Amino acid sequence: MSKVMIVDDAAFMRITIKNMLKKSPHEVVGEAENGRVAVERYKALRPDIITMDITMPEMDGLTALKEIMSINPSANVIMVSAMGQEAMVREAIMNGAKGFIVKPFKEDGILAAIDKLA
Amino acid sequence: MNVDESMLEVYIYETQQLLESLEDTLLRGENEKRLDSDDINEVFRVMHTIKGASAMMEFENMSKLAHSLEDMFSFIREFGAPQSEWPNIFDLVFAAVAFFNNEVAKLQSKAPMDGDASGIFERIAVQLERLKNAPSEDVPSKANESAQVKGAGNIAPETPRSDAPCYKIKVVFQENSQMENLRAFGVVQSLKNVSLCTATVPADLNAENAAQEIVRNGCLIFIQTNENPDRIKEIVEGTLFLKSYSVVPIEIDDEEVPETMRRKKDNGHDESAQSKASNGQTSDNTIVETVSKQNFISVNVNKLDTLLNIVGEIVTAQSMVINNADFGDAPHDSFDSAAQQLHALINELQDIVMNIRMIPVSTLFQKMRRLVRDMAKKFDKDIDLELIGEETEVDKNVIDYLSDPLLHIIRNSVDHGIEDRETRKKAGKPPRGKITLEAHTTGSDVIVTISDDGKGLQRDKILKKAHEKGLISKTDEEMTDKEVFSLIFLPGFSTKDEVTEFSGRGVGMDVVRKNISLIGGSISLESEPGKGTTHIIRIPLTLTIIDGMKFNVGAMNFIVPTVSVRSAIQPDLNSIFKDPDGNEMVLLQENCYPLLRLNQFFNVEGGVTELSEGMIMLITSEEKDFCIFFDHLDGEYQVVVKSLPSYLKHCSSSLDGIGGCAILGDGSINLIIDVNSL
Amino acid sequence: MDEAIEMIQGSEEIQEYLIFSVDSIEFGIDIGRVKEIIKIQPFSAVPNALGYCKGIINLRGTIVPVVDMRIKLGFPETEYNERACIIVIMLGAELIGIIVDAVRDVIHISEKDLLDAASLYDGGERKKYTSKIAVIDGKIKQILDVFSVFEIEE
Repeated sequence: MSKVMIVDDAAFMRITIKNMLKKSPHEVVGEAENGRVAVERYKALRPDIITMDITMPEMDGLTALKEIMSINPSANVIMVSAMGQEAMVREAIMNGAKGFIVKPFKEDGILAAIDKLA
Repeated sequence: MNVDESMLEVYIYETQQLLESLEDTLLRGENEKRLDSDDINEVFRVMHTIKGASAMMEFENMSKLAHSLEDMFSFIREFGAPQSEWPNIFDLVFAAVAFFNNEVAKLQSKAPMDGDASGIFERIAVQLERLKNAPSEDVPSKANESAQVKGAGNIAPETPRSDAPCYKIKVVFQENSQMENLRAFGVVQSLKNVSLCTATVPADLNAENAAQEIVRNGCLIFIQTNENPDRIKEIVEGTLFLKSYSVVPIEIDDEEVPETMRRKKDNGHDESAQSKASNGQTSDNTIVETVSKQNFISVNVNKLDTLLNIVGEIVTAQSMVINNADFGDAPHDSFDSAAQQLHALINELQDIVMNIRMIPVSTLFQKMRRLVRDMAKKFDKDIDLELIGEETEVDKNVIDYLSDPLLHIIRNSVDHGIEDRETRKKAGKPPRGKITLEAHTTGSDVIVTISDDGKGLQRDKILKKAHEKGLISKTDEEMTDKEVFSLIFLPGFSTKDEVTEFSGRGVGMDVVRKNISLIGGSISLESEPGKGTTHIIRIPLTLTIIDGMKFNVGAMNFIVPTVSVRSAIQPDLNSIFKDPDGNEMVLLQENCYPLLRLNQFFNVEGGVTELSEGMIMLITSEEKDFCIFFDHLDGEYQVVVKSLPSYLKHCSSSLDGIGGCAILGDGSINLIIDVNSL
Repeated sequence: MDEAIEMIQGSEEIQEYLIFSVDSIEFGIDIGRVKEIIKIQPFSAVPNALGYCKGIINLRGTIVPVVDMRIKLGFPETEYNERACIIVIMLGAELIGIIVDAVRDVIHISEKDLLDAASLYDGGERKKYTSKIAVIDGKIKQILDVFSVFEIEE
């Protein structure tokens, strides 16, 4: 069982991922609606796995990823991306993202990804 | 996807919120005739979010349309758009927003989302082409930046050293895992720490067709490393969405090993320095949003309604407890002081609940901006809409009731009030018309004024029409301007028969007045020929709890708002007489007032008919003061106003005089009198 | 009832109907529309009420208009006996109470057993309120079209 934090500016995406994880052994310990909040919450909650949206207001997912990796170089961050964000996904990978999923994704996709990192 | 109700609700809510804020941005931007880079970012981000959420919900049309706009704004973000293209861009985004709104509304009412966006798609495609062919503007472009990122993404083969063993790794990804080239890149990246030198097939993972090639053939990764093969397997295995992989030793001189890697071995040239340098650089995509909304939660209005209702019941129950007849006349000091405290707390609770329900009129006002924009375009008029006091807060219910009357009045102003350019020029007015929408509060009321600088109401035309319809009895000369103007509020005056896209149901001003009076408000207007017209709407800030006097007529219970009552007395039979037309009149304090017998007006059986056995009340309404005759006065109450069930209008030949109803603590239903329609 | 149960197993498209009587006729109403059944209770009068409207009642805080189906459907008015009751039905977002002589039963009727009313029944006033007809155990049940009875748009 892993502690998961969901970072997405869209409440819809957060609730969707949360619902998908309901049936898994993993526990959603926190959510954040932008990168800045995500970094704050990361420090406090120390989740095992983070799903990180890329396009967000205030602080985007890439910047948050970098900050989190500087706090904990072995943090498990899965980027939540969409077609058209290739350049940013690439940069995320170079900055230590453990992988990425592409919207729209299915329940088994995100569960498999989290299971793998758990 | 398995969609549950809460996700659907959040999807609808969030999409609507996004669209609303987007509309605000667009309308603001339209005044400037362009969007600044923050706004462009916002449009991009909103479309990105809608695209993602809609794709998850499998709303293909929504997601595709959002995607195509995202693409367009991604282009604009990087390369800008010439000034001349902005009007078209605005139109396109507005059209898309309208489409989104429509579809979401359908979703909300559980109707099929069958909108056809193909027209908008096409226009967006054409627009994007035009933008691409337009001479590029000198915008501090992100093109360089993204090029840099791309450069950084190239796999830079490390200098091969000595004769470390070589491995050939083959990875195949799960079907439909998407961006397979980047997944392969991820594998290479995670091997980087342990490998001395890498190369891939396909060689350039950034190439356009790299992903397709990997889907077809998998990706080959060649590395030279001193690391234990088990460790390599472990690293590769950690890759997400991996379907299968293999790690086999291979000679570096093997033909299968890409030439680049073999050659590197020979000259040992390190090209990676440059790309490493850019690794450290952050792409500056940070989108700055100044307003933090974290301190707000959104609550379903129904919950607030329930809360308010309960508070209303508490208020009623409280008065029943405190005024309970069981106490008799004996003094009960400690009870009184406890009751006093309870009363204070309940009042505070009531204030808080009322306050929670208060929202600024800005969203409503912004809607009008949209309306004026669309209508002005349609009628080919230039009209500015000025909004004043958008931050004024009123009860949520008031907003709902205010919406239709505002729409109607503004439609009238645009359609009939503001003249076309030529006429305005001839009249020596600026060619652009102006409508001002203003809200402010005065103690217990909110006052909304809508003024235009159009041609104003024409007294003689109104009189002519009113005569045709037989709506006036006085002679023209006897009537003041105000009286003449108020004729347009009479039922049957409005003659606009045609139903246009904007006028919709073709309701007249009488309906506007009826709507506003339903919530205890009033409307009046001022107009000066050639200068314009001003509508003044006055509505109580909160309309859900009122102080009222309770009385009955036969078995029917009524509440009349205390503010409308001037006095209630036992009638003095000598002061009641009939005027020459046979109407009953009451002489009170040297004034004469018409007398209305409620048992006749409401057609109640079993009511008191003898004047000496009942009571009369002097009522003051917007237009006149008059007396009503009823059976028995029952004291003063605070009540929660409930609207009448709409089916009730099928149950009665006339509900004039009734504005709503209230349930008292004993469960009895009381009808609330609307003094303006008596 | 046995027959009705058999039918459930036989076909997929089965709806439940609440059967009630008004005068000598048995009507059915889609049970999905029925909120609850309550006994006759005192009504608060409505100003200028039309004949069929008996008044309004307070159903746990909701104001519900009550219509006498005998009058509404053109039958002679009678005193309410102990079997008479009010069926509270949902019409869109609102509730309406209808006074009926008695509630009989809840039955399952398969879609295929519902016949178009027009082909069978041509009895004037009540025709327009009946959308479908079913014959169960040799007795005719008229399925009420609530939207036309209450003159509102669907």
